[in-house]
Formats: sequence, structure tokens, C-alpha cells
Amino acid sequence: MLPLLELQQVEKTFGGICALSDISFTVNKNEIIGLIGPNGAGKTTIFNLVTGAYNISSGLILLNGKPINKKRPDQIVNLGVARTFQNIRLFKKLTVLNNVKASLYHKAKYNIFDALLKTGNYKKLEKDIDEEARILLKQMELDEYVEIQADNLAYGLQRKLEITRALGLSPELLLLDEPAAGMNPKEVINIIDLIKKVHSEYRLTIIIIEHHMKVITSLCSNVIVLNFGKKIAEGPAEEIHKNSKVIEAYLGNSTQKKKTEIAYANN
Amino acid sequence: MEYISTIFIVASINVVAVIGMTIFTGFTGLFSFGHAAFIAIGAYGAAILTYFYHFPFILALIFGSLLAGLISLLVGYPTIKGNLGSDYLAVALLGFGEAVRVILENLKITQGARGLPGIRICCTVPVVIIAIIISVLIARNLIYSKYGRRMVEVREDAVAAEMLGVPLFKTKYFSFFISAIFCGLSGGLFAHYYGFIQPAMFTLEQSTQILTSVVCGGIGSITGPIVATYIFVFIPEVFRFAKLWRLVFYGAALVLTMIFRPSGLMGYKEIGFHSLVAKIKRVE
Repeated sequence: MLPLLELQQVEKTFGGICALSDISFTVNKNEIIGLIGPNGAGKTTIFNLVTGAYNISSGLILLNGKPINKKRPDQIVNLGVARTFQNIRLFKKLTVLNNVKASLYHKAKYNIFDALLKTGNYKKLEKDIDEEARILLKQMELDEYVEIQADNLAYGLQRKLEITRALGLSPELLLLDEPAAGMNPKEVINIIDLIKKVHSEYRLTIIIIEHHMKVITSLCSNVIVLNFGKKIAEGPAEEIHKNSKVIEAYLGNSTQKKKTEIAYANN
Repeated sequence: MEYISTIFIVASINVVAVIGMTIFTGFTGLFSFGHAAFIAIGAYGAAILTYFYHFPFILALIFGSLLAGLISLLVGYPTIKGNLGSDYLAVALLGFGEAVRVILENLKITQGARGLPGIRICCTVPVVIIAIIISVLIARNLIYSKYGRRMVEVREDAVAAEMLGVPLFKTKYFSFFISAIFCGLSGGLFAHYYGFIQPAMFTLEQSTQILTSVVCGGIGSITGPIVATYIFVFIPEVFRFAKLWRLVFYGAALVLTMIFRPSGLMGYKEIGFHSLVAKIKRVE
């Protein structure tokens, strides 16, 4: 089976700083992959590279077997990649409905003259988009907030709306950047259920960046661990936390710890 | 009566430019201190056609606007493609605006700093009313279509917009083009109202004035800036008895809007039949 997304020896440097080096992994269709690692490990950078926000320094990114690393973000979106952001990026002043419609407009095939003259074609397409947005909001149980300005929504609902908006692009690959950040345990359970539902209903492939291990273990078939821009481990979620390198990345090296203890003792 | 119609025409000519500016600044969120240049290009383009080549007024207006649009495509490509931050773009366009003025002062066909006297006077009250109606209709239809909505998305959050498939450059470039067309139209009307134009009329001051109207009228609104433009033309006239002090009233009006309505008179809202009805219902 052809993998949906493939990264081959991807490297990204910002000036002299190497943010990512030699990252290779594949994501198969319909999989949920977890991407974990300490802060600054380069997780979000991977998302930014896949979506085209940054250009890679070297290596190759393949989507459905075709290289996408030379394309613009809006072109990559049209190839079926959608993402959410670590710090929610909704269109705050727009209504919930208009936020969702924003992701549906790429389907509206009318030209500027249709728009200026309000032709039948324009009206029909606009109406279709309106209906589609409302249906999507209903499926995601956000239909009671349709006319509310997005920044007046509760935090958890804003996350949900951001995911809904990403689904409007009808993506094949969905990149979720810390969907459960800042949520209480109950909300975390809700978001896990939501991602499960979205995954099965829309037949998506998902990559999740997350610090909540509960989210990772209950959703992901496979986990990739990054530290200092390098992939240090990859494996099933249940086994990954036993990996010595992973423990080292999160908790520190035992010999190093001893050295510091000795240093303290000497002082 | 003639006094009032004069004020009305002067304000209305500004309104056409302000509608263009509101698309660029109010809806796309980009700033410019150089749009007077497009007014100048539209004015000179249209005036030269009627003055030297005896074109019909309407045709001259259209060609003048299109010329402004064409120049905007040339200028917009490097400045907007360069993805300059909002304030850098404003300064780059400020430079462009001054450059256009100097070029106009040195070209033969524009008769340099002497200007073009004796342009046919065709711009009357009905003409400006029709011009405003057409401009408002075009602007409104544009804003509520996918093109306008994309502009709003770019203003709200360019990064998120790009990740929803909005082509950033195309959207900004198009917005710039449309705003230049409106400013060009305004320039054509200007030339055929005063009957005389010279490069010194199209300065930074005029660019700032239309930008002020947009910001005080309200970002993300078409009707707000229109109302603000009329207010800003009428206030100095109402306080004419106060001589030089009237400019203080003008400044005070600006400061007061910034304090009491930071997002402008009609920020993100429109004056319209529906909103009025809604407001009355809410009061009840």
C-alpha cells in the first residue's frame, strides 16, 4: 500500500540553527500518528514544513507519492492537507458560520463577473456553501452557535470549531497541533471522542502533536518521538514510554543527574 | 444652494476614493499612504483624453480608472509579492505616491507643474450620485462574494487564511487593483469638476485624508467610511466662522472618534435597512 505522507531525510535550518535534521517517517492511510517530544523539539516545525509554511532545507516530502515541498500552502491545502494551530487561530471577528464557510470557498467555482453581477450561478453556489456549512456544523453539534462571533465561544468550543473548519476543506490528512492543550480532564475525554468520531466518519489520516499522554495512548497506533530536532524513537504507543531514549529526553540522563548531584554535594 | 451642491460634490468625489480605500484597508487590512497617486493617475489619464483627444466624458473616466488599475498592477507586484509587513507596505507606497507626483511634474503631456487648465467641466450632482451608487454596488457585491470574504480572512489572520486555501498574494494584489480603480475613477471626477489639475493637488495629505476617513468610519464597513467622509468635509465648512480654528474642530473630531469608538464609527457593521429594523426590535 502506498503511504499517504512520506518524509525522507528532511532537514530544516533557521540561519545557523538546525531545527530538524534527518527526519524520515511514513504515515499510512487511515492511521493516527502521535508526534511527541519536549518543548522545542521541532514538532510544530514538521507541521509547518508539511503544510508549506516553511520551505525545507533539504530532503523530500511526498504526499500520495508526489513531492509537495516546492508548493505554496494554499496549493498543498487543495491537495488535501488541513491543520489546526497550537494557539487557536480562528477568524475572531467573524461568526461561527463564516469561519466554516471560509474553508468551503475553494469549492465555489464562480468568477469575478458572476460575483459583481450576482448571476444565477453565483447565487446557487453561495447557497450550496451556506447549506454545506450548516450541515457540517450540525454534524459537529455546533449548530446552536451559528450566528455567534467566534471569539465569544468557550475555549473548548473554539477548539472544536477549528477542527470543524479544517474538515470543511475535506482533507485526506489532518494535522492537529495540541488539540487538548489547556483542557480539563473531562474536556480531554470529549476531544478524544471527537477525534475518534471524525477519524472514522471522514476516513481521515491524522497526525497529532500532544503532551497529554492519555490522548496519545487512546488514539494513536504509532508514536514518533522527537528531541532536539531528531527522531529518537518510533513505535506503538504502549511501548514507547519504556524506551530508554524517550525517558532520557523527558526526565534526563541518570549519569548526568548523578553528576549534578555530586556537583551540588561538592558545593 | 450652489454652495451646498459644491460641498456635496467635493465630498462625493472623495467618497469614491474612500470606497476603494475601504476595500484595501478596511477589508484586506493593508495600509497605504500613496493612494493619492492613483487619484492623480486617474485625473490626468481622464483629463488628457478629454482635453487633447476630445474623448467623451464617460469613456475618459473608464480609461482613467483602468490606467490607474494598470499602474497598480505594476507597482503592486514587487511591493505585495515582497510580502512586506503592513507598515512597510504603507511606507513603500508613500514613496510611490511621491514619485508619481514628481513624474507628473516633469512629463511633457501633463504640462509639468503648470498643470492642465480648462478641462471640460462635466461632473455635476447627478453624475457623482450615479458614480457613488455604482461604486457602492460593486464594492458590496465584491465584499459578500468569495473574493471579499477572502480579503476579510486575510485581514483577520493571514496565516490561518493561507492554511484554508486562500492564495495570499492573489487576494492582496486583487484588492490593491480594485482600490486603485476606484481611486482612478475618483480622480477622473475630480479633474472634470475643478476643470484644472496640477501635480501639487495630489499629495500625501490627500492620501492621509482618505485613509483617515476609512479608519474613523470603521474597519470592515462600507457605509461607515462614507458617512465619515461627509462628516469630515462638512465639519470644516460648518465651523467656517471660526476661521483657522475650524481645523482644530477637525482634529478634535478625529481624536474623539479614536477615544469613544476605537474601531471607528461603524466598525465591522453596516448602516442598512436590516440593521435598523434589528435595532428597533432590540429596543422593544
